[in-house]
Amino acid sequence: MAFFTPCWSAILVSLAVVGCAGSADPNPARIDAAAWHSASSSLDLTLALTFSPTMLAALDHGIPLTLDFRIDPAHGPRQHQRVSLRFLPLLRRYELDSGGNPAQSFASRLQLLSALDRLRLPVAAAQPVAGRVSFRLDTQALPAPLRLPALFDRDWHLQSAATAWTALP
Amino acid sequence: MSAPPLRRLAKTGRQRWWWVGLPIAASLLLLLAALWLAADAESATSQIGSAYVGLFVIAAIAVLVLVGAVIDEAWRLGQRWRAGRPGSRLNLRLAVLIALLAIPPTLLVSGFAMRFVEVGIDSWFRADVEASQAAAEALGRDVLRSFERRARDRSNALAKRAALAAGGDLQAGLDALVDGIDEPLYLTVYDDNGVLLALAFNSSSIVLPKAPSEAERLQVRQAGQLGKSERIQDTLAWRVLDRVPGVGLLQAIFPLPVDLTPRLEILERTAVDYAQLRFQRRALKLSFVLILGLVSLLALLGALYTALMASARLIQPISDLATATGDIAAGRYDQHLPVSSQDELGFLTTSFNRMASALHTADARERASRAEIELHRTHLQAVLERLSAGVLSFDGERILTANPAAGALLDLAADALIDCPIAAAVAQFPRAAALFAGLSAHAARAEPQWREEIILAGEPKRVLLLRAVRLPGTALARYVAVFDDAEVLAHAQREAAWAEVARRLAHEIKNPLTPIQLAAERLRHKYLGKMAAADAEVLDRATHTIVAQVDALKNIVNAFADYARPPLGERRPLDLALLCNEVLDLYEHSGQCLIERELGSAPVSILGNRDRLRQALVNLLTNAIEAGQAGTLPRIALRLTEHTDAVELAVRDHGLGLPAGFDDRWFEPYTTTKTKGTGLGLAMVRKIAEEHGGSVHGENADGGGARFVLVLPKR
Repeated sequence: MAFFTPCWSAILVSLAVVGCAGSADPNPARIDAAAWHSASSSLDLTLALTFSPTMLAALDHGIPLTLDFRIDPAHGPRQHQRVSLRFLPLLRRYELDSGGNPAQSFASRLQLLSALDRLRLPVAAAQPVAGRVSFRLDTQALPAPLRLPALFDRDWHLQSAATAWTALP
Repeated sequence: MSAPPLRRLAKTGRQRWWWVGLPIAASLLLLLAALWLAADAESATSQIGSAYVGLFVIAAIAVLVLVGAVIDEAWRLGQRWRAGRPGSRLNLRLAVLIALLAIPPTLLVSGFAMRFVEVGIDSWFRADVEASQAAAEALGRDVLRSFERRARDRSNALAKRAALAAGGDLQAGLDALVDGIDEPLYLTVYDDNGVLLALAFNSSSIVLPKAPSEAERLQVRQAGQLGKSERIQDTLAWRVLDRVPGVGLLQAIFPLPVDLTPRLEILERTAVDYAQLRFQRRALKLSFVLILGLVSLLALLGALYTALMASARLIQPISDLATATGDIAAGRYDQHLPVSSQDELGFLTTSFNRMASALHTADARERASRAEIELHRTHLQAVLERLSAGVLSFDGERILTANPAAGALLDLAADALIDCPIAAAVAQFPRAAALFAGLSAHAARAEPQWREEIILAGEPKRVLLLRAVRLPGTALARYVAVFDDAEVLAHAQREAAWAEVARRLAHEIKNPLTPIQLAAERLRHKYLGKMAAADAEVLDRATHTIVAQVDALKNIVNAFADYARPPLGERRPLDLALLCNEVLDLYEHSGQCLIERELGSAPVSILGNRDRLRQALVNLLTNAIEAGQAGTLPRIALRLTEHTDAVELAVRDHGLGLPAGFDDRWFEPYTTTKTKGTGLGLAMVRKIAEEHGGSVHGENADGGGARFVLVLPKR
């Protein structure tokens, strides 16, 4: 058993290294503004995000990219809203599915990314006066072979800081 | 003594199960993870979901556990090998052999499998496949573009006709337009603000479509037309917006033909999948290599662990046998090995257990026999040491044993005789030379037994009666000789004779004495007053004489009765100094003598019979008083000296001293120089001394007089 003490230490150190690798700095992604739109019970977000070349290449190869928005109302349970970006090679069009409404279709990637600048997310909450919202690229939604590389490759890291919102009158 | 194997196994059993169970669980976990990952590896829509990375982590931990188990097992084997434990070398060889048999094929198969995976994935992206895929995509896009052009043209024509119908009934005009078209169509007319003015359709596959957005309306106003493909209610359709002058805009929706839609969807799905695979090419290879690596590691580590464990398990019975054999060689016969199998090793272990059990039983018997022999030897030794007769054992050449009495009778140290050649003893001990020469001569003639009387040379004169016999059942001729002092034997015979005489005197004479005395006193009482003075005087003297002589006879008979009394019973602790003082006090107060005491102040404790010792002391004192010269008050000195094991009581008188030729015979009955007395005084003293394991002797004291010394053991 005495021999296993260094063994277990090595295992713990390895796990710590893996853990540190997984928590590398995210790519530039932020929420410039967030406001509650009571008429449509949705959250209007102004985003500033830059997808990495790897992400854009994956998108152009038909791999859907999913942004997971984490919404923490001041009162009430946490909610997740997913926004999916995908490319249809046959139609040569890009789709943006932000949930609730029919997917938006764009002729170019630039239009798609421009549409992400201002995003309206439906929120199933009764007049949340305030709260915090953040988003990240959901690497678990990627195809299986990409998930392990995505864990260690910084090109697949996209995560914003949490931004507070207040309800508009 | 080392712990028996069964106990060692029981001690480590729980721990071993833990160390066996953990690697097996890790192997199963690793196998399941690899299978799961392999099934999900190239799937775009993973079934594992968020557990994918977790599975890799679990697999990595399982690998680490297996590596740890292998290293631990190898470490233990190395320790056993370095410690030179039985079976460890065989264990090592077997483990290496199994590992050599298992590892190369595993590495070979794994290497080829990885290569095949790489080649296999590359084969998905062959140039002809890529070209076919590109051609199919181009074909699909051409079909869609053709449909789009047609939809735009038709929409433009319909917008012009709608403008013409706007002057009249717009809804009726639209209905007429739709009725004239034989393909699915959905027309809606909006004003510039996006308000629905009229709609018409000839297919139920499309429910009310969404209104054009403000941006779309703006684009139409600027460009005149806007067209885009959209999925509307699971149907791929072309939505075209055209400006209708004076009215607003026309939105025409052209769903793709029913038979074309699924084909295009398949084409699109295939295109997406192929594009994704092309992008994941490296990641796919990495995934498969990782999974294959896990499986290879599982096989490799499993082979190593199995080699180590299997060899250890195979060797364990042999190792136990070797250890137990060593224990038996060291004389530890209580070995029992567990029989864990019914094969040849099991048979060997069973046979070993039978042998060990038989050895253990034989050893126990032999130990019991040895203990019994030792007990007998001890008893014999004790008997020989306390025997008054001398005992020698010897073969034809040398003396083997001699008891202390032999040394005492021959006036030499018994230890000096042991292992002494008989010829050397003849020269070395001249006083007993006749005895040793006789032993040698009789043994040389191989006589089975003999007896003879041997007179020791020199003083004091001693005659020995010797009986010897050849011991039966010995390969070498061995003899035992027993000899005794003839004088001692004669003394014992005389003692026995005197005891018999005393017993008969007490029985035959004492009984009539009392009637004689009573009869004499009755004669005196009846006739003394009736007779004449002269006769009366005669009667008086005669009866006095009779009574006095009867008293004297009674005293003699009582003395004999005391002498013939059986040996004393239980001895108890007593203070001899106190007893002496008690007796001396009586004599001192009677005024018969002057007493000088040298008894000391401390108690002198011995084991003895108080009455018999008092009798001995009285006899010695009486003897000393009677030895006094007439006309003077006898002066008697009594000294008590305490030694380590014995006590010496000396009674000295100041008489004429011992007669010439005084020796041990003076302590026999009726050996006396006195004219009166029983002649039993000193005999009684010696008898009492011997009853206590002591002795008595007499000597002339310095300065005149005699001194009798009574020596008594303390215990």
